[in-house]
Amino acid sequence: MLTIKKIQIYGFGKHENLTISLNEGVTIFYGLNEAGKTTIQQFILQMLFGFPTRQQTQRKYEPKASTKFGGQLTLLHPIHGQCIIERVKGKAAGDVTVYLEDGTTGQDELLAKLLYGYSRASFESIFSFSLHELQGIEKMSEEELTHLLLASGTTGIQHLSALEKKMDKEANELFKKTGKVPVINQKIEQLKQLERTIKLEQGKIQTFEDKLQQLQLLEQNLENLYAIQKLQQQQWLQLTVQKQALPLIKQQQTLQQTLVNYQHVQFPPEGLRRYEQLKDRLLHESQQLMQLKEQYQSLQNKVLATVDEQTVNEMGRLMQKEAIWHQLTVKEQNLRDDLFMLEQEIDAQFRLLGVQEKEAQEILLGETVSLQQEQQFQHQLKKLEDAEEELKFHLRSLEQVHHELDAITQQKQRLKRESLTKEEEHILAQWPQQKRRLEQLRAAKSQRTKQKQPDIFFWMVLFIGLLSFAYGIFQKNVAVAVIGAVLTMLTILLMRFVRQATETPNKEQSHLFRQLEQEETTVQSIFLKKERLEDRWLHVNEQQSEKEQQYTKLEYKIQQAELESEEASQSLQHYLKRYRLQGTIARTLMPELFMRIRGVQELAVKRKGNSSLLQETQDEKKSLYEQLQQVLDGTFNEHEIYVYLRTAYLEAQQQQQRVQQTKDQLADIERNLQGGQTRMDRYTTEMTQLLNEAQVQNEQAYYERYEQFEQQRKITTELQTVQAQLASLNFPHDKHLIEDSVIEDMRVLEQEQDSLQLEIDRCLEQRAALQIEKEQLLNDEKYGKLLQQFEQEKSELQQLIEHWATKKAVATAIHETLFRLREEKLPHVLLKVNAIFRLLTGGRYDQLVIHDEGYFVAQDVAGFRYQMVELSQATKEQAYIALRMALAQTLTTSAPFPIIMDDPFVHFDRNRTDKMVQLMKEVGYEHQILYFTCHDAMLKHWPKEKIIDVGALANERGVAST
Amino acid sequence: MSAIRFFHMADLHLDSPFKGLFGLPEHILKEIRSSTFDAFDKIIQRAIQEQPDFLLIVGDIYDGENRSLQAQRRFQDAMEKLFQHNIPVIISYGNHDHLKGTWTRFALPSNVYELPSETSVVQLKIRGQQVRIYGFSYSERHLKKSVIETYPIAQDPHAIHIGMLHGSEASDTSHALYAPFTKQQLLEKNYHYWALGHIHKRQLLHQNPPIVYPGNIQSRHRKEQGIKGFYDVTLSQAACELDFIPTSAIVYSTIEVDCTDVVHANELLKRCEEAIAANRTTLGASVVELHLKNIDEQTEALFEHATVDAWLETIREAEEGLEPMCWVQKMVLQKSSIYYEHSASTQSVVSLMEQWDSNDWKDILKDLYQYAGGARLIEPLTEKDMKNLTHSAQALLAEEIQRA
Repeated sequence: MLTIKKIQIYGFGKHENLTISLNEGVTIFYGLNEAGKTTIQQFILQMLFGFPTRQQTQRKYEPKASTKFGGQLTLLHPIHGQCIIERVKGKAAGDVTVYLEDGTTGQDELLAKLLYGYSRASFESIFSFSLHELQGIEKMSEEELTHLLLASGTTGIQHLSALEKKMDKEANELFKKTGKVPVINQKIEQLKQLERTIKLEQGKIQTFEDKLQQLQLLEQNLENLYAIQKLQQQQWLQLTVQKQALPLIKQQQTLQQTLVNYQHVQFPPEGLRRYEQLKDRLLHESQQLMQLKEQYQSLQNKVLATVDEQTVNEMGRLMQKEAIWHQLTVKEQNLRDDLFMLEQEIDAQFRLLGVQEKEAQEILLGETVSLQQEQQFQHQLKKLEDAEEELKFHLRSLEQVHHELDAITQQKQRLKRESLTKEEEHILAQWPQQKRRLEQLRAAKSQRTKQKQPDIFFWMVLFIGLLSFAYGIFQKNVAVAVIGAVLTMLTILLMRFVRQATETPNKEQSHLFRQLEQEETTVQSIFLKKERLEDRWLHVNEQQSEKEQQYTKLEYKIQQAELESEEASQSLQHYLKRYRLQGTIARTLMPELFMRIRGVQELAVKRKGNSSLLQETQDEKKSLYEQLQQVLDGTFNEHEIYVYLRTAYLEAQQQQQRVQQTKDQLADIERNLQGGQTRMDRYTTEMTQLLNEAQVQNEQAYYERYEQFEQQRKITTELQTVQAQLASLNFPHDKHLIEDSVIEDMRVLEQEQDSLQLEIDRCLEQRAALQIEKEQLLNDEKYGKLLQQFEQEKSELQQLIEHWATKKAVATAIHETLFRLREEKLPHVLLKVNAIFRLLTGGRYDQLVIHDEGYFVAQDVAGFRYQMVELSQATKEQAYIALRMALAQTLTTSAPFPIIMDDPFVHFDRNRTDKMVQLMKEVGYEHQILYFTCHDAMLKHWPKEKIIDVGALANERGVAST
Repeated sequence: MSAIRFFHMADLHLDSPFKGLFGLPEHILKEIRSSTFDAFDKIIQRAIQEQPDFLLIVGDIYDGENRSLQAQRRFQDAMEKLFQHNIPVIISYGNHDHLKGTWTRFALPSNVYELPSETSVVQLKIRGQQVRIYGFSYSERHLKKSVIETYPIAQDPHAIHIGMLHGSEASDTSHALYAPFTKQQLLEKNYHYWALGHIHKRQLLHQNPPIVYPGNIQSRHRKEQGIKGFYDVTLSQAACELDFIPTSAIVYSTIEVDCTDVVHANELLKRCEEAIAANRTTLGASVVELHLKNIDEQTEALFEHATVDAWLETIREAEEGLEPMCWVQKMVLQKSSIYYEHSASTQSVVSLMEQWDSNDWKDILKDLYQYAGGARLIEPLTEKDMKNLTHSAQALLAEEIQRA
């Protein structure tokens, strides 16, 4: 039994610093209205279960006047013993501290433990009730009442029952055993569907292996097919070869047949060429022979018609003399020319000498012209010349004198012309008068001259001015130049002024003076002239007389010289006569003459020598010429004869050489002829041999044989080619082929190949398709995704199941709880309820029975059953109290809480109140009972110590009631 | 004796569907779907880069009958790549890719040793070091009997002995038992390394010699949380160095969001976004459950007018398009316990539910679980499910009562 021993209020509602000690069993809290009974009741509840939070509707008892809020409860706990619960203001529910007997303290958790985990609601629903709850029973429906009763009269029961229904409904919405609509059912269906899809996909994956096998099979198939194809290709190749070989073989056969015809043909190697070569050579040789023979004949003739050798030798000898001949000719010519020249010269000399006649010439030639003679002649000539020289000199002197005389005469005449004119004579005559006047004037003038002295000063100044001006200009001294110029100007002006001043008064006087002076000078010059002319006249006359004397002397000398010259020329003339020289020869030519004569004489001697030489030469030449003519056998001009000879000689020589050559040629030809003949013989033999080799008689047959041979050879070559081609085709020689069969074979093979190719294509196609499928399978994530989806769905399902299971569990739990209450606890409770109910009703009613439909009905002693509404108010309340009390009693062990009642018995009569007190006393042994009342009627039932006057508490304050 | 180096991985489950996801947009679904491949590609790339001596794949390359051709081809391609780099691969097939399967088998290159159904040994010589690898492949889907007896005890003291075993420890009851063994049995074989597979959670059963479950390489539902990967093992006679290499392309994780003092909607969104962003930085692309914690009545008010699903939608919208992607699969509200008080009646309901045992549950849910049409599609009810159901039922009850 959990007992509250002491209530200690720090501050709660109107109470402050209040301590109440309680006894076991029943405690009656008495007080008038407003005394604070409910406050104490609430204090106990709030101390145990906490101050109400904001959300809760209960009243808060935080004191208005005091800051203290809370208090202490001292409990005697059946397990933990004495313990104190202190709750003060703090968090919403207040800060709680529990102090246990053993000294341990704790908070909310420990408190919850102390309170057996009961909440205020559940506590209130059983252990705390008031009239209000009892009154409420009337209004409750039967059903509610039943639930209340079933749930030990707790408040939460209706909720539970509602919840059960709700949970049931929700669970059913989630799942129903036989349904299609609920979510889980649907989900399961979905999952099944998905599973099927996965299976399908799995099936597809299973085909992967099949596909692999199929692929392998196909691969094998293909390999086989390829092998067959290869074989076929080889066959085809062979057949193609055969087909190619067919015409070749045919050709080979024909060729072989033809070759049989030509089997015996023999022909020397290169026979035709060799034969034709020989033939050519033979022809060529014979032609050559013919030519040679002709040549030989002509040469033979040529050799016979040639000159004799003697003449040629003679000619050769003469030819050697050709130089001599020419020399002679030249020599003769020269001599003739010389002779002619000499003759000419002699003639010229003679003509020069003037000797025309032959005799004179002969004489002259015979005269001596020695040096003595010449000297004599020179001497005479000299004399003559001297005489003539003297004469000449005298004549020249005479002439000079004559000239001089003429000059003197002319001088005389000039002098006469130069004598004084009449005017001059007049002037001279007048002069003495004039002279006098002049002297007068002169005297006057000398006086004035003194006055003219200052003039010099002016001139000086003028000079200085000019000088300074010039200096200024030269030195570029402007000042000086200006000064100079000004000075000059001033001087000139001054001078002019002065002169004018002086001149004007004696102008006439001076004029006269000047005239006189001029006259004086003229007279003086005329005087001088007259004197000079008189002198010269005297002198010329002297010269004339001197010259006339000279002239007469010279005339005499000339006469003498002429005589002398006459004499000399005569002696010379005489001398010349000796040389029969006619005419006169200039004296200057005289020495020349002698030289010429001497030259003529020399020339004559020369001429004589030349003539004799010429004679000799001519003789020699003539003999030679005769010889030549003899040799040449004809008359030829002397000049050309050697030309002819040379020609003739050369011709002869050449002829001789030619003959020699011809002879050589002839010998050669003879040799050639012999050689040609032998060759021809040989050729002929060879040709015959060739013919023999070819086994023929004549050329015609030989050619035919050649043709045959060629044919044979061609065939053989062709045959070889064919064979080679066959060999290159790798074709077995021994195999016999039939064309038709080959073609047929090929056709068949082609068909086979086509069908095989088709098969291969089909296989390839299949393989490709399979490959793609395989790849698709490999790369397909669908399966994985499906699995994931499946898992997801499953999770969702699981989640749903969880929801369902939870709901189901809750529903079941509630259901079961209710069921248990009804089935297990209820009979036990009911027994107690009935006992209490019987007690309270004083045996009027026997029991409370649960109706078949789950409602309570009351059964009286007589066995009649009454529904709740049919009962009186007090009986209903009694039924209710009976239920509560019974419940509390059944819970004595699991929840030994105090029962708190707030004046619930007001409707009870005295009898029933007594019964109630009896019950309280009974229950008071198992539960502490706190009874709050304002009716003093209750007080008389209890001893004083069990009564606490709340109104008095407020006055006594802090004093425990006992 | 030189050390050898190999990669130990298991449970690739290539192209396996992801469980427990729904309502995903197409692009995220695609990314999630390719995540097993992405993880596997990471391994192959690393192998090519690091050139380990060989690779051990301890079963469950594919996801049973659900294996797709694409997955097989991807695997084949990867093996070809390793072949080109001359890296041997030893495969022991597990329960999900047992030898009896009717699926198409892709020919693998010669560097791949597929262990037969009889326990046998593969001998490798690596830089002069003899390596013996023992193992077998599942001959059928369910191999309940123990096979550990068929493994020979290591004899050659110079060789390195490695056991490959796809199965579960006999004591582990959380998984269906396949080829069960005990730790002691393994240790008795005197091997240097036990490469295990089948359990998707990474575990180190024994330190020396190492007995290792590398876990799967990519988680496939929300129960496989955290970063997945494989072990890069450097092993010599004397020592073993285990290096865990993460491969997860997408990580499943739970994010707790503290909602203390959250009053306004944007505050809540901000908290959630911050939490997701932090998750994104640490784990990359991920699928997350948001657990909102410390929700008091103020915060609770936020959920009075909009349902949790509406909030989830809002958060998803906010995360839409961000890289690496983050899909918020679920949002769970963890309310402060003090808030709701059960009344006596509800309390009795609650306590009733708590009293239910599995038979009760089966009875309660028999309508569905006996439903012929859906039997195959519905996951069997586990103890854990029942517990969860109890919780959610209680929550629902409380919520409904509260609302009333």
